[in-house]
Parts: sequence; C-alpha cells; structure tokens
Amino acid sequence: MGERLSGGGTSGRRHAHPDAVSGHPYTDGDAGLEALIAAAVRQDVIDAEAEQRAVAAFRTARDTGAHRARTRRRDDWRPRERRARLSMRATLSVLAAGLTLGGVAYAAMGPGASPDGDDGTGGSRPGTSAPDHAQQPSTSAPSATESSAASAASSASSASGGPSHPESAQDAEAHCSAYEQVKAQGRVLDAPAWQRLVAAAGGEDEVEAYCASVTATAVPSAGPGTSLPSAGADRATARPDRTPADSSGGTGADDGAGDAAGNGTGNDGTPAPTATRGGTGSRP
Amino acid sequence: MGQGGKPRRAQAYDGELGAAVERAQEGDEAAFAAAYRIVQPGLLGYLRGLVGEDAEDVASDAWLEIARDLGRFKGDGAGFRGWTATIARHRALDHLRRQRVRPRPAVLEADVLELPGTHSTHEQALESISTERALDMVRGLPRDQAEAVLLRVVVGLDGPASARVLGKRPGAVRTAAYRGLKRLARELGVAGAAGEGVTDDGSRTLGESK
Repeated sequence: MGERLSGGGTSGRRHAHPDAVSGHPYTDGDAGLEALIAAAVRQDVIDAEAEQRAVAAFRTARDTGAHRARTRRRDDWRPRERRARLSMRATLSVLAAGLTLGGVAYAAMGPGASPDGDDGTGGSRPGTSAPDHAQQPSTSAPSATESSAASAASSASSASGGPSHPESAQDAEAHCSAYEQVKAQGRVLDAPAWQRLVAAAGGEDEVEAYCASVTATAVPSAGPGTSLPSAGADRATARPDRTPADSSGGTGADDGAGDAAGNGTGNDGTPAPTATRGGTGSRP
Repeated sequence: MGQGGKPRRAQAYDGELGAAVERAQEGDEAAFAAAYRIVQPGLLGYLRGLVGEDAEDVASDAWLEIARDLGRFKGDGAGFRGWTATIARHRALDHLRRQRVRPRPAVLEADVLELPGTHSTHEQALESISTERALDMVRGLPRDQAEAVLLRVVVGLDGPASARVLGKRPGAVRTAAYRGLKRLARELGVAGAAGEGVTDDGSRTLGESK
C-alpha cells in the first residue's frame, strides 16, 4: 500500500481480491491484531471513478470560489497543544505579574497599616514583616515577642504600660522601615505612604536623614515595651500571695492566662497549684 | 501491501498528506487527488464498519462535501484525517437515519461469529481472517467500541482526535477502543496470548497517543 500511495499516479487503481489479507505481514501479538484489523478493514483499492468525482467536485468548488469560505470552529483541527500551551503561558505570566504587584502592594502596605489596627504597642508590626527586618536593630525581634506578650498581659490587667510615643511618630517609624525595606529591593513606596513620609521629613532628600533620626529615637522608645514583661513577671511572682486573697475571681483567671502565655515555663509551676488551692480555699 | 503491518501505518503519511492538503487549498488539483488516495482507504474502511455495503455511496457524498469545504479546513495531515472522518461520520449517520425510516434487510448478522477457535497458534488464527470476517467482527462490537477501534486502527487517529470525531471524552473513547480490541482478540480464539497482548498494547499505545 505504501509504495503505491507514495508513488501516486495510476498504479493505485487496481482491484483487490476480497480475501487479500491472508498472508499479510504482521508483527507479534498485540500489534499483529491491530495490523490485521487494519489490513482487513481498510479498503486499499481506490475506485478511479469515485476519485474523479471527488476531484471534479474540488475543481468546481475551487472555480466558484467556495474555497474562500470562512473556517468554522469544527473546521479548525490545528493541534490543541499549541493553543493550550499558549494560553497556559499567558495564564502563568498574568499570575506572576499579579503576584509581583500584590507582593509590592503588600510589602508597602503591611507595616504602614498596622499602627491603625492595633493598640499602638507595635507588637503586630514585626509580626507581619519580621523576616524582612534585617536592617532593624536586633533588639526589635525580642521586643516584638515580649511586647506581644505584654500586650496580652496589659489588656488583661488593664495596666497602662503600652504606647510611650505618639501615633505620628509610630507612623513615621513604620513608613521609614517600609521605605528602607522597599529601597533595598529597588522599588518605591506606594504613593500616599511615600508622600506622607516626604511631608514628614520635609523633602524628598531629607527622607533618609529623617528616617535615621526616627529609627534612632525609636529604638530607645522600645524600652517601655521591654520593661513591660518584667513588670508582668513581677506581678506574676507577686501573685501567689494575691490570688488566694482574690478568691480566684475573674481577674485571677485572666492573669493566669496572661502569664501562661507571656512568661513561659518559669511561672507555669506556681500558678497552677495556687489556682487549685485558691479554688478550694475560697469555696468553703 | 508489503511493508506496512503496523497499526499506525496510516499516520506514516501524515506529513505527505499535510503537504498535499496545503497545496490543494491553493488550488492544486493533483494534490487534492493525492490527498484523496491517502485518506480514502481508511475512510472507506471506517464507513464499511458503520454502514456496511453502502460505504461507497456514503464516501462519495462525504467527498463532495470535503471537496467543497476544503478551503475552510485548518490543520495538518493528522487533522485532515480527523476532519474528513467527522464529515464522513455525519454523512453515515444521515444515511442510517434515512435507513431507519425505510428499513432494508439487514446486511450481516448470523454466521458472522462462527470463528476459528481451534487454531493452535495466534498466527494461524490471524492469517485466516478475511475482510468480511474482520468487518463482521468489528460490527459485532457495541457501537462505541466499534467506532473507537475503527477510528484508531483503520483511520489512524489518535485518542483526542477520535474523541473529537465522536464528540466524546478522550478517556471514554480510549476505554472503548481498549475493550473493543480485547474482545476482538478473544473472539479470534486467541484469548490467552492475544488477550494479554492486547491488554499490554492497549495501555501502551493508547497511552502514547497524544
């Protein structure tokens, strides 16, 4: 069959006997079955008349301009993979662009937005972007965990050890840290934050100097934050004396939770027994 | 008929076919004839499986439509096989619908399945098969299996193209072809060896088909 087809021409128009498949070459086993079916069912004899009718129809269609008809969806048999690959590439690039833009927006927005959100201890700010604060003084990392514990303690006991510097200073600090972060990556802060920072610094060229001064004052100002846990610890050590007297009220339970979260292992042993003791002691 | 023997031999001419179609779309009459000679054997075999002895008439109808709409087609040689098979199938289904309105005596049935079960070897069983018997066997399959086997083995389409011709999911067509081939092997009386062979072959070649 192959030679005839590649040879083309009239050599193809011979008539086959119907049982021509016997003796057809086939390979072993499975391939043999498919080859057998193919050889038996394929009609390798070309009817010259039928071919001429088809060619005549082709000629007519060509000469009447039918071949300029538009391609419908069902006429498009171009390989699917190419189109799929294209659309996949487009999807991926859109996704990558979205992630990049989202990352920029998030990096610029995250630290700047946090002071508005919480009570001003700054505990949540390092939490959102702590891994990126390479240039921050190393004390900020411990102060972050401590101050978050402190905020829990202070919210429980309503102790006012929290914000020591005003809101605007915090804002500037946040913007500065965001600015440094973004600057290190060669990008620009998002516009409102940047303009506020420029306004606060008093000019675009002053930003770095301004930020240097802000962060310099900010590091000592974190001091109260670090002092809080020590106060909490003092309270915690003092508490065993106090809790029985408090008759294990609501505040006692709150303190216990705050301490357990804030002060770790050291106090874990003592509050638990006192709590049970206080409970039994207060009941009768 | 000498060299082939491979079930995929229809695809061996896809490059040639694609070039011929391209030239035919530019108006080359001889190229259209060449494309006809490459496609027609498989197409006619497929139609024989669908409509039996009326295959030649249905094929003529299909080719009139192919010749008319050639300018619309976009794709390569393999795509042209799929496109023409789709047109031929629509013509065949039209034909069957007309037949159902005016029924005619059934073409086959009966003695078709008295198959050689006594052959000692695979080779003998396969060698003895005739065109009629092979067609009858294929037509004895459930419709979806028969069409899947014909498109794959006789027309030479890959899985996705067969699925598009049939308007089904590729997985369903793959399963149908596999079951059909397995059943054909069993009916050939070589269930042991060939059945396993077809099982292996089915998973391999169907898997490799794009």
